[in-house]
Amino acid sequence: MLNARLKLASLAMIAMVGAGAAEAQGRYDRYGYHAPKAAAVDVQQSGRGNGAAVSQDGPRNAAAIRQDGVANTGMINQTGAANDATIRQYGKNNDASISQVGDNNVACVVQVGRNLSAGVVQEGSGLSAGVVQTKKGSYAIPGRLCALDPANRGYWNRIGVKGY
Amino acid sequence: MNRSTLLLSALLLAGCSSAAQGAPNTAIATQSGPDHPAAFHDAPPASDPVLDGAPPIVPAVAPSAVARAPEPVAPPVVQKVQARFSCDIDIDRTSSGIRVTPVVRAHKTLSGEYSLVITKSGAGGSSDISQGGPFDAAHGERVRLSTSEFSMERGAKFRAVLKVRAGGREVCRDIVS
Repeated sequence: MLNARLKLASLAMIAMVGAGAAEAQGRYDRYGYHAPKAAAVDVQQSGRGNGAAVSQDGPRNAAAIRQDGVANTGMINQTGAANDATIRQYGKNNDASISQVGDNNVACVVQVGRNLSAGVVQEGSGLSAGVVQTKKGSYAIPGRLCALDPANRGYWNRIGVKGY
Repeated sequence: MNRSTLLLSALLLAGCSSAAQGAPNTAIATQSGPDHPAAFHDAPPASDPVLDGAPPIVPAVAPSAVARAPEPVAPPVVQKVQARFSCDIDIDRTSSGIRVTPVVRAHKTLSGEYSLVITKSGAGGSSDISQGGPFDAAHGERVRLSTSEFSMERGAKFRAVLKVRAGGREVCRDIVS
């Protein structure tokens, strides 16, 4: 119980630190998807020994990596225009990668736990995919839910998963 | 006496006339370049005694004139491009770290490509960010090429290198660390 409270507290802190940093990403609203307007990279890491790598070749690509914990690695490669990729990892020894080749693609990887590994590869245009992985399992989510933050209340309900 | 005077005057006349003949050759269009091939062919043979004495300086002058020619052409072009374009890496502190914004400013409408490489290392982890792509800058416009934001814990270091290419060559570079 105490452990769970600590986890929630740490996630809340992460949410506070990262708040407002993802505005460069694309977004969904009632009118549909709005691609990023400018090339942007946002890498936020806390803990120790985390590694992040982002490569963008083209205009208006947006990439964000948030990692909290120990020895997590995240890698994003984007070639084309107006691609949107997000990696969020909380825990230890997790590994995530996203590769996008084309235009207007949306992808995300969310991992909470230890020794998890997930990747998304998109080749084409207008593709959308998300992966959420915890010790309980892996779940595919639609790209429109990629903007949601796991640290926010109701996240797991929104994506239809019982939690981590 | 008269004979000797006559002989002397004859010799002088001959010398003057041969010098006068040699003078056009000393223009040495012949040696200054291929622009005057006809003159080159018209030149008397080198064994001509008159030429030997007359213009020994000219051949040395011609190459120097040729060597001088390209000097004024090349440097101004380079300076012109550099003066008409500038690039910078703006660094802003944010609540969560640092924001790196590469910007370009052109004094005339310009299109090109940029590449930005950022490496960050610290206790929290390391980050490698590479961005690149095309850009268009209107006359006098200040264009933000991209933004990169990353966390900077205490003791962390970063280095950002911006390179801008236009017209098939690098026109600007900025390094911040």
